[in-house]
Amino acid sequence: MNEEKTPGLEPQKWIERYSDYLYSFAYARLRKEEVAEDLVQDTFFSALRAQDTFRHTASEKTWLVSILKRKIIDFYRKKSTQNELNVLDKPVQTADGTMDHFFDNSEPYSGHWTEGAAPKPWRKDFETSVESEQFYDILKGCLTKLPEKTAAAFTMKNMDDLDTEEICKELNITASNYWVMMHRAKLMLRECMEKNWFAA
Amino acid sequence: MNCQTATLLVEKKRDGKLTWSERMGLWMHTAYCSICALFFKQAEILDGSAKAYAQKIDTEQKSYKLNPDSKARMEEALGRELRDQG
Repeated sequence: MNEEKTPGLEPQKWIERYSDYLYSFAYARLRKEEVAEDLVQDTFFSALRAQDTFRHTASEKTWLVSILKRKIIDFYRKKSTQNELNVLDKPVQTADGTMDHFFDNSEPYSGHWTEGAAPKPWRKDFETSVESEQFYDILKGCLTKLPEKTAAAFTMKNMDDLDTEEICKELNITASNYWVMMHRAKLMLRECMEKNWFAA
Repeated sequence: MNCQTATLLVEKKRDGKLTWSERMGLWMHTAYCSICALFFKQAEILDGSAKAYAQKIDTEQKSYKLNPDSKARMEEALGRELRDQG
């Protein structure tokens, strides 16, 4: 017996209407082509099975995006936190590989910027430069270099505007872990972007 | 307060969680450390650019296209599933 299609949803048109948009959404956040593709396909399949949960208060597109968002977060959660946390568990004052590069903890410098890593004034047109197409390709490239969970935290905060509490819950980290991750993310990202885009 | 701590605390500040003494320490450090002051400005620009990136994707000003072969495979797989559902 033919089931009646849920009014408002047109699955046979989903790929044509939304696949590129969903792929962009996922790829911008994951920066991995295959993973983004897989999650988009998973989204369509999950959506097919969950049609009766669709409430007409949302649009078809918004509903599909919400399913994809959940899958993206589940992907972030799967990434092993252990390596990143091992480093995070060390007190801030103790130098480790990354921090050594940015800050000199030997006397008499005591945590001051190292010469090589200290921020420098950027090119004069830095403000308008972010409007160019290529800027986002460079940003994407630099984000790809961050450790997985660190990149996830940065993306969730700055691209999706999630509360810190929510990010910590989803990634199973403490607020302290989160601040240390974001600290590292900013240091590494800023340096990468300076080298590849903003340098005067 | 040193630069390593100051740059860490600015993340905590963003969530409004600084203790009073951390807040004072950070304020004072920024007053005399021009390198950290520069870092804070640049970090803010980067946060903003990530947000702008998300907005450009959302408004389709910027888009990434699915590989046509992948799209075709997806079409096929979804088509099969739709037919099976009847």
